[in-house]
Amino acid sequence: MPRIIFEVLDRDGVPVRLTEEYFRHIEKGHPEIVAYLDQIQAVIRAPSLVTIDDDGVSHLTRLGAVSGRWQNLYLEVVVGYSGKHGQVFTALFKKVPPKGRLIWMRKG
Amino acid sequence: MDEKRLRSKVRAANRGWPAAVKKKNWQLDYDSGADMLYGSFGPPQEAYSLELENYPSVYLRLRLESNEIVGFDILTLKKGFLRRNKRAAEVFQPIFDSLGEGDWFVRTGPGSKAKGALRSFLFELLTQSAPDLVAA
Repeated sequence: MPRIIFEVLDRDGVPVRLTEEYFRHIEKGHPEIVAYLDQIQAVIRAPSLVTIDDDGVSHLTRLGAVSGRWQNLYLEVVVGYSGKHGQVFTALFKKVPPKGRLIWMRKG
Repeated sequence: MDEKRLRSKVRAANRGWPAAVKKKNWQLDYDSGADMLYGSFGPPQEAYSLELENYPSVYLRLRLESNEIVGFDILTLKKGFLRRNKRAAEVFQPIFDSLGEGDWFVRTGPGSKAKGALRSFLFELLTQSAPDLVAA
């Protein structure tokens, strides 16, 4: 059974988790993200926008989710939903918002 | 940031990029659970991501301040990217045949014969699909 790094509820109340096996790849491939696990959870709970790509994968995004060096960028959390839960596939920073099909955006 | 302006900055920062990246050792890390390929030119570095316009599941990785391209990601590699790209599927198949369906990690240098086809394909993909970003 893989160790769960965190599990939080998304804006629809669906549990989304990050497990150790996925985190190992994120840690190696996206070292800039490792310090921001709390902020990744915050984006899952309350994104500014949610898009879905051509392969049905969800991208939960928020601008300015972190402080410091990456503060003016979008923090994007890539989540695959299956059944009644979601799994964090990866997370990354972007200077421009995601291009997928917009399915939800925070008002105001 | 305005995307047009960003792409122009990336282009300016990566003049001569194709020649430089050909000389580097690449690292490819496949996460089978996420179906995602993490690629880096040299060891992975802190970077931001930029989607390729023609291939939305392919992201370039760029250094925050200099905009130098240091790697790439391919999301939904098998379930999306390889299904949509016949040639890519042909190039990746020997890798999956030899390394299996689970996670794998490979290093490939300029003279690599075993992974040469994969390296050439990825190089072509990145240069041809982002001609506005990686001018020779």
